[in-house]
Amino acid sequence: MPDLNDELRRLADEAARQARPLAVADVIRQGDRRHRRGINFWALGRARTPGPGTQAKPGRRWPGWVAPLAAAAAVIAVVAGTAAVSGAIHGRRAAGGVGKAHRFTAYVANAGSGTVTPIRTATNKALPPINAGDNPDTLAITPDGKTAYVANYDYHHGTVTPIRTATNTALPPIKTGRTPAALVITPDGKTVYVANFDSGTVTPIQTATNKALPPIKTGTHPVEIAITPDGKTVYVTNNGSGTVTPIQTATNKALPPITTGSHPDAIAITPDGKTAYVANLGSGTVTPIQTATNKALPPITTGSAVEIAITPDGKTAYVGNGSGVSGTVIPIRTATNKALPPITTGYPNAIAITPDGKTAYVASGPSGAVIPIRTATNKALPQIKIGGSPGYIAITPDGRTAYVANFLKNTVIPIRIATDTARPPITTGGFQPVAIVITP
Amino acid sequence: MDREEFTSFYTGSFPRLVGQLYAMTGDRAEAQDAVQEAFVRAWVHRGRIDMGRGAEAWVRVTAWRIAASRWRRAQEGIRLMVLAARPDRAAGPGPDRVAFIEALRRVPAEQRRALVLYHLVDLTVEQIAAETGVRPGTVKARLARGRAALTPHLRETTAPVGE
Repeated sequence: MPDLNDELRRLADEAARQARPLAVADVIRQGDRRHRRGINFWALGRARTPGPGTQAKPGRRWPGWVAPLAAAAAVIAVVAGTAAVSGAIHGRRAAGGVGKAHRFTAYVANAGSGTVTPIRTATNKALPPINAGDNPDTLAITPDGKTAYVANYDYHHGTVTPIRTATNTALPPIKTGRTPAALVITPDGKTVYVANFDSGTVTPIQTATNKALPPIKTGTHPVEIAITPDGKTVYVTNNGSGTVTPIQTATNKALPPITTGSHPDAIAITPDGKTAYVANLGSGTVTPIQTATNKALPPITTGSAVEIAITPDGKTAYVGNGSGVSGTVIPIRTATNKALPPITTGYPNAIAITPDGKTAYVASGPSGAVIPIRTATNKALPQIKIGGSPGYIAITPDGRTAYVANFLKNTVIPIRIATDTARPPITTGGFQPVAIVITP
Repeated sequence: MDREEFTSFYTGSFPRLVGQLYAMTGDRAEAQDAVQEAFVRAWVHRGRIDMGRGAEAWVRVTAWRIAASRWRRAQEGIRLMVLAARPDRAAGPGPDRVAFIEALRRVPAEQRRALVLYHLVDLTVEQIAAETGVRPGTVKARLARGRAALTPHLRETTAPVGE
């Protein structure tokens, strides 16, 4: 079919002649503004701290370009996730459910297809995907479990889509700033705070009306967000400024920024609310911040810190360090802020800790595996191989099942925690699952 | 890929990729936007992208994905990625070219993508299978269906475009 060749060639040549590329310096500048993504190609998973059940702990993952083969993995500048694992608060609620252990719903953000897939944990069946916005990559759910909020990580169409969990329907998107990268919900469920990476702001959203309030100025490239268990203060890591901005939720006013290391990223707060741990990706350290005084303590050297999760008893912070395909997890005793010897895991895309605090699960994209770490001994158990690129983990509030998003396979793998065995994969019906949140 | 390599890669392949994406999407502004955004992402992820043939494929796949995600948003359901007749805002093509473009737009998106990769980018069926994430048999079927849909619109006398 020679004519088809010619026609296509003429068409393409004409468009090529009229192409108007930006100056390369502008492309590089724009790219550098997304610095945080550039640093962790495999992903920055986000751990969840136990604390308020709604704590959003987003994560970014870059599961890697697997040669041209990865068309499915078509390479979206990926992204983050948030999960709410119930800590004490929702643990109780779950226990009150008269033994109905498997009544949860997991919501999976499919970054590549702009959808969210609900999965019933009782049956491990996926329901039809719900349309969200462009590049949904972080989720959080209200403490009453009625609404899931999805941040659509897009520069031009930054929005948050609320999803009613009763009907699994999306409500109209709420406009935020550019590139909403992370979100957290207050323990009273009244407000969602959204960090807008490319606007340098945080947008509060009232959940009663789903209206955005005026944005609050932060530093450059706010990328992660955490809230104290009493709901009084939101902490935002400013990846571009090397600072953390505290925001008082009563007034929605930003307090003076706290200097951290370079390129602060993941953040987790102890269940007693006294200390925020900030992973400084650039300087390879973790900065503890005393929330009472908002003063930074001396940094703890870890390596390229990409992820933090804290045990429900608050005694240990697990810091994931990654570089290329390799990585470790370093436990830090919060009483002394001393690092224990590193545990080899492969690049840690995400860390999640069981509600009983006994096991930390590490998803390693490059390893195609989930690595359980016993917190009592800080020893890694044998890898649970699932293939693909595991990028995110969320654990059910009853502590029975860990759900792992497998970015390259468009599946979610349930892992039975009692036996550390993988169950059959669940196809999400979307592309590039990057984040999971589970109802309380 | 350092700054210098990226610069020469960018300037060398940008127009060509816009041409390819235009043929795939049928929308010049969309093609330009998607390729531009894909290059920003390429810079961000430069450490993971091999120079050489791999880099251009990376940008093409990324740009396709960016464009495809916009259609999905714009239309009901992700299966219906048929580009609705969207007026080409940029001026230019003569009437018979317009007829061909209109015909091309009516070809389902993945068929169109396969046609462009085969007839314009000169990839083999196996390479297209790798780039689009489907089996070679599926690529062949897409090519056959796409060609069948376009045949009436080839050559200078272009028949009226029917549904």
